[in-house]
Amino acid sequence: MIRLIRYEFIKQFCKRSILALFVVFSLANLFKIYGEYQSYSYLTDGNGERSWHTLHWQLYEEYRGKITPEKVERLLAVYAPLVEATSDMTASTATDDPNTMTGNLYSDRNLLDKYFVQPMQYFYEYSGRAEQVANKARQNAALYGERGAVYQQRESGAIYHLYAGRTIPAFAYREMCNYYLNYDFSIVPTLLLCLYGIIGTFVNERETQMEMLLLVSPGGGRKTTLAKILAATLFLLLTSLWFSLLDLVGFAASFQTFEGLALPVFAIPNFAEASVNLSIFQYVLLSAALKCAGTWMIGMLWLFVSMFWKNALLPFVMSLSLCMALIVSGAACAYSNFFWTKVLNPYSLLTNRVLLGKTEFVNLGGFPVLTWQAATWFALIAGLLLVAAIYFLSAENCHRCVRRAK
Amino acid sequence: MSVFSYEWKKLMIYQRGLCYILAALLVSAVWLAATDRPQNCAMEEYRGEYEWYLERLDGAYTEEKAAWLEQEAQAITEARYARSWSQESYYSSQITAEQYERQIAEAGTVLAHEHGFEAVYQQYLYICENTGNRYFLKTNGWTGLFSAQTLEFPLFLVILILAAAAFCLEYSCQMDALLRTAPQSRKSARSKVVMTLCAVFALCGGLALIRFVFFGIKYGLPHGEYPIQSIAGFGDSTKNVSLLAAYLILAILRCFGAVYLAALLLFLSVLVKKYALTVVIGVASTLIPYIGLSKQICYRLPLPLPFLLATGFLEGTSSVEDSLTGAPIVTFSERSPQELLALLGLSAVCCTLMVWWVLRQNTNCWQFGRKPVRGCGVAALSLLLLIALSGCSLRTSANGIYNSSSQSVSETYSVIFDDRTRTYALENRATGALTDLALSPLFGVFSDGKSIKAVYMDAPYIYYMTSRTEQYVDRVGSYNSTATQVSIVQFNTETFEEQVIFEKITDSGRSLLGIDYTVGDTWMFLQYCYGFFLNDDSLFFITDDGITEVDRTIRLTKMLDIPTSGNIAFDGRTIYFINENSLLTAYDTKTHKARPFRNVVAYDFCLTDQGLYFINRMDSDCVYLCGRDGAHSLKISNDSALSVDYDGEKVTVILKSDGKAAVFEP
Repeated sequence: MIRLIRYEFIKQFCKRSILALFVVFSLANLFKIYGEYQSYSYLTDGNGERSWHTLHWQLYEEYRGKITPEKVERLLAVYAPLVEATSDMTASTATDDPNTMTGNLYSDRNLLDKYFVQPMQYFYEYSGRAEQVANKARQNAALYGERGAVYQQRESGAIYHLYAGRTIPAFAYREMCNYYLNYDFSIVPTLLLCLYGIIGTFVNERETQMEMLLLVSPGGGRKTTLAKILAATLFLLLTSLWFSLLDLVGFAASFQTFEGLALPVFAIPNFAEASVNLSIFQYVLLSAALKCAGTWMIGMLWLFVSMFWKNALLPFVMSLSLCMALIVSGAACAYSNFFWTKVLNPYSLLTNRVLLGKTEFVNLGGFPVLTWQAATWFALIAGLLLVAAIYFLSAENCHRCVRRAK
Repeated sequence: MSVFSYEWKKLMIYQRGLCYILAALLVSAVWLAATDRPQNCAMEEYRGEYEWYLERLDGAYTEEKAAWLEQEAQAITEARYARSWSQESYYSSQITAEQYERQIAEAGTVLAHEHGFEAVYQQYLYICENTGNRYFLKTNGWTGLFSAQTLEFPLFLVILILAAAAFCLEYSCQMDALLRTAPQSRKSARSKVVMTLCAVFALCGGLALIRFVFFGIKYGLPHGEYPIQSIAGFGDSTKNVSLLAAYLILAILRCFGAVYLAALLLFLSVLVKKYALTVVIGVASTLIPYIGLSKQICYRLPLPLPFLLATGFLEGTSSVEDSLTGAPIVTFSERSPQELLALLGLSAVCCTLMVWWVLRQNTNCWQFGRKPVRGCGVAALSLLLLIALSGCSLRTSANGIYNSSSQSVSETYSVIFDDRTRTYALENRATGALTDLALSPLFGVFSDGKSIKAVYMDAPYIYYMTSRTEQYVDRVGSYNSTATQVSIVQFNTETFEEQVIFEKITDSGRSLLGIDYTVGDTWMFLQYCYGFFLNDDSLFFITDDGITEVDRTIRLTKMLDIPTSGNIAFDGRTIYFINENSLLTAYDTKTHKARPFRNVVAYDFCLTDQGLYFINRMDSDCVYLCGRDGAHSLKISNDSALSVDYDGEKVTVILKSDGKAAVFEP
């Protein structure tokens, strides 16, 4: 069987066209990531002595690590006079002021504000806010307990366990992680590449009418189908993992740092309500796994669609339309309070921050289940059902039929 | 039968090309009809009043028109004041009934078109920014016509099917070798190419025509000769083009884009000879730049994409402000006609080369005269890549009682609004225990963008309206990263279950995978909404401009002409309000008819279980009680009152004499 899977994998996916597309799409993705850095980071002004880039990394050495009262005081001692000097907008706008770091007072203030004061303030205040949430959740649980609202009580309990004790003890550079966690573009090349790879799995043999021939071989029929499904699964997982890895490497290379990966994921402002207590690096691994699950389910859907056609054109266009419909509806429901729409759409596993970035539950038989867990289960069950459908709908091997007839 | 007829039959009938074209036209038309919402709702809601102003203003800006508009603004403000003053004087017996009637009639003539004035004044403000080339005209039709700024997917998919199938069918069954030996192989290939390109051109032209006819019929497309800058999306453009010419240019560019994409697919299909690879390269060459690149770069690429989008060629330069430094960031710089022509020329050359190569590949050796040179495909591809790269580098319910003036109350709970923190709390009336709304412990803790805007109670349910603003990337850049969403949550006070019954994103600027697009301003009013109530069929949102009714199933909006300056009461079917003539009025939400109570001239009122308590302007502002049909008025108090409120248990009256509150138990 393993040999059959290997053959199928090599036959379907180790083609020059797929490898060429891999290279082109990977380059396009890296180009886009570098574009993100250029568009959104303020640290792209070169290596000059007074550039933000140079100054930021100099100052960063001073403030990185555990947040202590001394560090906060030291930062405020530099920042407060700048705010005072620039508050009425009458300070000098000269860009060559020798008494400033960057050459301009406003620029100094902006640099400190954006990269040090705001993040440090957020990190510092986060534990208080999380505690507030945990306390309110505990009070709510008690209230619901009195009223006999069991589901709500369980939900409040789950929120309490998630938020109790949340804290961000150390200060680190978070800009790279912010843009990395909000990056979606790689989904498009991943899906296109997977679509191209998957669509030929059954169709190639039908086009050349080889599927009749395959049926008469001992390893043909459902055994081949199973090998094809497993090879396709392997291809989908590898593609998804490759782009997840490429994203991380691309961002680290563009921003020239891996700093911030050790921060808890809720250190990024739009992950403040994250439903997982993980570090950003662990989050990256979880996110890659969820992307794999989502890609696999969508891939199985395409495989299912393609098995009924004799050439690749219509299943390709249909799968593309299906995929666009999932993407458009997924993006439209990304902020929605109708959580089931996110759970049932496998696209939300690809842009999984809409699931992981919010603490949202769905009611499954009276138990609160986090949306990302529910979506993963749904994707896996739906994927398995599709696999079963493909397996049982595919033509049976003649040998086996004959044996059964005997 | 000629070769052309054979090919026609094969492509259009056997391969169902005609069927796909008709399906695309049908789907686009139905989708357009089903989803279109006016870009400016006010112009449609008060069409008659708006057109009255437009008759006087239509055309270019002049000093006289501006002066007249300013005068009109002044007159409307004065008339509003005069109306309330005459009411005040009449009900305090300072003027006679005749004088009052005359003054009200005078004010009424000025205010007859006041709703339309708001829309026209907004347009005037827009025109004032550049009076030279912005004209007064009814813009909804044209704005809708030009609003298609995104890739048209039905068209895109049908082009994929038509162009990929033209040659790939023969490659898939290896008939191409046989065809090449036929004496008319070149003719056959030429027929296929011509037919595919013509079909795609016709489809794109048909779609443009459908849009034109649709918007022409629905909103009207007047004054096609006015400058394109009269439409907000093109306000900063420096091109001297009329509206009609602009649409023609866009339609032609889109048709060219469609033909170009079809030619690219034909070329690819002959080059790679596989369905899937042809289509995937075609899709990638369009979707990856579309999603991955900024608009600025997209319109510089010699690919089909910029022509399929096309609106950017006529738009002006746009920029946004950096959120940290305040420096302007140019998001799109205007494409000059020369640049457009250069790109068009380059693309036309690519297109021709591709078609030539396709025909050449399908020519047999006898017709050819010499042996085909190996590797010319690679050479053609390299040439195309070279040209493409040179293009890139050009330049960088049960229903209880609701009164909008007081917080809702039920038998077990009452709502308390804290003015200082602007938060709502729920008070258990039996125990006095307070519970903050919303109940979710996460609500508003980590961001200031979440708030509760209004609460409506209908035992055992409490409905609250939340507004949530989220920003996803903390630097203003190339896409709309901020979204405000308004939701209505139903909270069951018995089971403590929460359920969202309505939600909408209010912004008209949206973004999908980094692609910006705009929708009509249908839901913009939710941003200014400060109260709401509902029944089984509809939701009613109160804003300063009136009440908007939203159907709960089909989400259709309707503006009700109800002034919202005073209290608004609702009993599940009827909305009670004081109309502009101070008459207490009942609006039936089923029959959509308003019925003023002739004998009830009220200064303020509130709805209770017993009926309507009101401050009677005809009787020195004393408090009266009447039935819900306005009949059987009964004097309750002999003291003049300033306001009357109902909190679910008792009616509280603020007395005019000393400002103290008097309480009645109904």
